[in-house]
Amino acid sequence: MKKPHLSLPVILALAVSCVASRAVAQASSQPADRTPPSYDMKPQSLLDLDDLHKKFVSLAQAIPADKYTWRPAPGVRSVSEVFLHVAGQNLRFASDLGTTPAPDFKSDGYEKSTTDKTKIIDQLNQSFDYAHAAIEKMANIDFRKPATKYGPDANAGDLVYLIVTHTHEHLGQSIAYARVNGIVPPWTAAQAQKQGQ
Amino acid sequence: MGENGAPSGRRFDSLWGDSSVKKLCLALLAFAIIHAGTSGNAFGQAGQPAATSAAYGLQQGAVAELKEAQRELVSLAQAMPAEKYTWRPSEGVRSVAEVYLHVAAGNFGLTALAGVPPKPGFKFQGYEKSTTDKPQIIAQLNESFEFAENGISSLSDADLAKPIKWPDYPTVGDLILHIVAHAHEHLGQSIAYARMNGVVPPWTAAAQERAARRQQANPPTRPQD
Repeated sequence: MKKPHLSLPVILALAVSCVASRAVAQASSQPADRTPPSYDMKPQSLLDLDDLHKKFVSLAQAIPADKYTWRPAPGVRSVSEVFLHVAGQNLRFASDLGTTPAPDFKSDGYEKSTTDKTKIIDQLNQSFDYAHAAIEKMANIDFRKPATKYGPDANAGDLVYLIVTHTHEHLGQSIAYARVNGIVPPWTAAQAQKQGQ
Repeated sequence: MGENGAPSGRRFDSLWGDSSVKKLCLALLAFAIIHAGTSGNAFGQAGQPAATSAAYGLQQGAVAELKEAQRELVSLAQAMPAEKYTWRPSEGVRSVAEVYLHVAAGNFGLTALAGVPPKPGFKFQGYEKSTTDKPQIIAQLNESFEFAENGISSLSDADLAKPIKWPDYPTVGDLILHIVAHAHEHLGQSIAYARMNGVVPPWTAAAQERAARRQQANPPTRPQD
């Protein structure tokens, strides 16, 4: 039986093909996005979330316990309900980012589950830590993952954006609640004191 | 040299003459070329990362969030009675009008800081207290949101990585995140101001109306005895 003989061009073509196939195999066995993006929103969203965490907790500490049931009008969230709404949403959003749901967290009735200042501050702390951990573990490519629960074209990046904007919105609301009750946000008081010195 | 000492060129000639071998060679070459083109990282220069776009479309996300803030803030500004524009929760805290103009100032000023050509004639100093006129403030709000939305849309992915002179927000991308967060924080403040003055946000009022209509159309049935 005659052995087939391959000439130089055929061998060359085979060699190039092998290298290309190996490159494709390598690319598919590793995360597809291995180069740095032009902008990675993760570090700034984490910084922002940490700042929100600090502000929410310091505001919650500054508001007297007897004001936790204050609300601007009937049917509108009270101080404690706003704080627990923020905590609940942090837990829900983080869970939707693929983190294991927080144990013992029950969405139904959570906002009205307590008016106890200490417990609420504890819940705020836990929820911000939980949301931070969920974003922290995301790789750049995870920001592209679909999050269709939030819209047909929504992705995890939109959800991270939503966590940040949602929390800012309720921080603004909480500051207004504090101000109308005669409480100056601690960071503003600290700044004023620094300027006065 | 070939197996029997014959020059390989001749063997090539004879093999090349075979159409199945010709097809095989062409197919292999085509495969090699196609995959060389699609596996850019493997064939790229070491230490020279390819210019990839951001994993998340920050500009589109920011514009969508700004449009939502615009819709809600403008409808709230319309719902607030003109005489409430000077109301403030306590002394030394921004009034209704000042919060709206503060948001507009942020949209104009921060977007320009991100590298967008500034709005002609805009001066940050004194802007928040420049007027308490309801129609003028609503017009400023709309103009400022459109300025920010168009400005952010015009930025490329490469622009997002550009440094800016602000320690808290070292890059344009970081600043964009802040522009959106800033608008939403003051939206929350404005909703609270509205509620304190007995004004229900129009989108909440519309949702309540829809829910009431649904309940009217499908009243809860009494359980059968």
